[in-house]
Amino acid sequence: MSELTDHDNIRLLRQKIIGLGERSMSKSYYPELRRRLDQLEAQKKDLEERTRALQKLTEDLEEERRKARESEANYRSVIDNIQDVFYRSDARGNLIMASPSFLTLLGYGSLDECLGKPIAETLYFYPEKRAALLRQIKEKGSVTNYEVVLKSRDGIPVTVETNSHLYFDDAGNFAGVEGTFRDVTERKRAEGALEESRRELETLLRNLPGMAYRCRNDREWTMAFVSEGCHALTGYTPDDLMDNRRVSYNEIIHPEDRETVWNQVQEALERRAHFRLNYRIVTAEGEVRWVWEQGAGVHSPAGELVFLKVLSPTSPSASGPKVLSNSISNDLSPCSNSTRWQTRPFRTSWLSVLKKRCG
Amino acid sequence: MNADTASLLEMRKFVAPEFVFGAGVIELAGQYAINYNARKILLVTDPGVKRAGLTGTVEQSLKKAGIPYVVFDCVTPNPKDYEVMEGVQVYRQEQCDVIVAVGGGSPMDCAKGIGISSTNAMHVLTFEGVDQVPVPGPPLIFIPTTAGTAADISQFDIITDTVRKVKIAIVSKLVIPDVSLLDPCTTITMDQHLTAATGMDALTHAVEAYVSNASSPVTDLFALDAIRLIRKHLLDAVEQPTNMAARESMMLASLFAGLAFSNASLGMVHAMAHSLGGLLDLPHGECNAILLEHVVEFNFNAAAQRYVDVARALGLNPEALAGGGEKSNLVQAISDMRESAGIRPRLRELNLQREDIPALAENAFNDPCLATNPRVASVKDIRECYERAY
Repeated sequence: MSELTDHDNIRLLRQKIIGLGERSMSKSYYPELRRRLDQLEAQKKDLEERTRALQKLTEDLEEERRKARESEANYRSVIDNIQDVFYRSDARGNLIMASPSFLTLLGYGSLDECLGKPIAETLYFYPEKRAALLRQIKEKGSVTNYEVVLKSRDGIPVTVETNSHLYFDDAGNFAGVEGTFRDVTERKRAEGALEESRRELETLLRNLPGMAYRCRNDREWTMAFVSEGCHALTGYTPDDLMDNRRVSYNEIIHPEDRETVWNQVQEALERRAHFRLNYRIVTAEGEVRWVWEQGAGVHSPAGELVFLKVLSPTSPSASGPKVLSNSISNDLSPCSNSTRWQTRPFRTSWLSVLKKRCG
Repeated sequence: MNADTASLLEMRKFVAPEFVFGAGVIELAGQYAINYNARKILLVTDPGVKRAGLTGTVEQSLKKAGIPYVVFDCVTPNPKDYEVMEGVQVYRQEQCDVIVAVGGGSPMDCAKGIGISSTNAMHVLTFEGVDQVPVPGPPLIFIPTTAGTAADISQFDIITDTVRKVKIAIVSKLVIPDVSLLDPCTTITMDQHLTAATGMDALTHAVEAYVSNASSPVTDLFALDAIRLIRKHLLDAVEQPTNMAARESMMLASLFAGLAFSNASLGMVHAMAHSLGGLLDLPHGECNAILLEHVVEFNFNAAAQRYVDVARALGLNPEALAGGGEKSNLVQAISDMRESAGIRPRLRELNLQREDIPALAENAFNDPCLATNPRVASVKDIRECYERAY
């Protein structure tokens, strides 16, 4: 058996040696070449698929970028165009971003002059004050309408109000402070001027030898404003007269003159002219005094009619109330001064100031 | 359809490389390298061939062609597995893509191993057996400088497994070189002894191919003509080293024998010689020369007519081939030729120890060359044959 098997094996070996085995063939690179080409073909297909996927990805990315650019452009235009200044500092307090309005606010030629520099030292008129702002921001997370005095490039103080808050990076770490500055220099100046005028007016009114008032066009002459001089003239305090609290002005007018005063005022109002009256009042102490009054109807923007009146005591010898003048132009001419007090300059300025306040 | 095919020829295949034969073809090495689109050549050779100046001739040709090359000459007779793997390393390091081998059987067999081991990234010993090479190696341009080995023609690659101490046979059409440049002029560098040994090697190839049980009409043509050429020119080549006609004929004989045995395979002589080379590193040509007459004696009756043809080709007259003396006359003729060529008759003179014979026989029994021997041989038969040659 084994002999036969050996024999068979030898026969098979012989067949193969003389090139009759299945795998016997002359040297040829073709099968290997074919195999490698197939591999390459498969790789190429794979590569093409990947390229397509990559292209898609690139397109998606491009679309995302386009959207991002659009969105950025939107935000950029907001930042570029806001009148308030948007600013941002890093965690160390250096300026890292500011809207272009920053340049107008502080007079810089380019943002590069300030970017990267410490905000307190560079932009604050009082650098030490920034610490207080930061303390508040850190306590509350933000500040609103917080007044800060910045320093322009030329060293001039610029008062601004800031809305500021902390901001954080993607990982949630404190990244710095950002917010807005709003220039309030002009408003502050106007407020100052107004306050000054108000004080000036108060002083004038307080020192006026007589009283100024504003009242409604009703039978009681209900007072909306009464100057300090009221007490000296009538013996009543302004508070007594305001809104007819203790007494109405009509009750102070001498009963015999009340009708005349009413009629003459109504007549002047119809003509939109000034009125000048002499009539009697009865003081708190019961004394009868002659007063001289000049006034005009004042119409509020809403069309409401109010009175502006200046009331002064006059000589008891004067006889009866009468209209002194019909027009303001006459009144303002230097020659038409028929009063015993040189009150015209005051009156004029008062009129303008009070009109402004009424407006 | 039911035609009787029993009397017809068996299936046969014939595979041969492109070859160019003639004086000066060594100069074509560069041109072939260009044709193969070589970027860098691994030039495999051995120190003896270098000394003979033949490596230099090939280098000149490559230089002229403008193709860079690196010389690998760490090759010894009966090329070893590690030598092949060293060559693979050089081939890879230097990023070679074509191999040129110049020399005898050793550099050429080594080059074959380097080629297939490189492309397949496998150790050369893994290719042992028939058709075990998956992918062809790089283009091989072979320039044989001995007339006998025919490694430039054959599908055999014989490498020594230095661990098992056996020669392994890699048999594959894929180790046949792409081109063989046979230049007879290169063979005049061989001394008398080498001329004789390689000539007897060629004779053994021709005889074994002719008596092979796989011989064919095509291989027969080449085998018999090889025998005739060797009979006429071997001694002249040995005795007159510069006799170019003899040199040319011997190279032609080697080519013919190669074409025959590469396709018809070999027999017991080679099985036994491989065993000797593997175990004791004995010179291949000499072993063949010594063993041939003994194997003829053992085989003769199994292929008598074939051996008579061989005898006739060797010039034995009709009288010598009649009356039952054919076998002894043929054996004597081969023996005489060996003697005349100056090759010693006994294996013991090659430093073989008698006690090595059983192991040698075992190894020879496993050699694939035995598959085409005309007579089935047992281990004992082989051992006895070694004994007779001892």
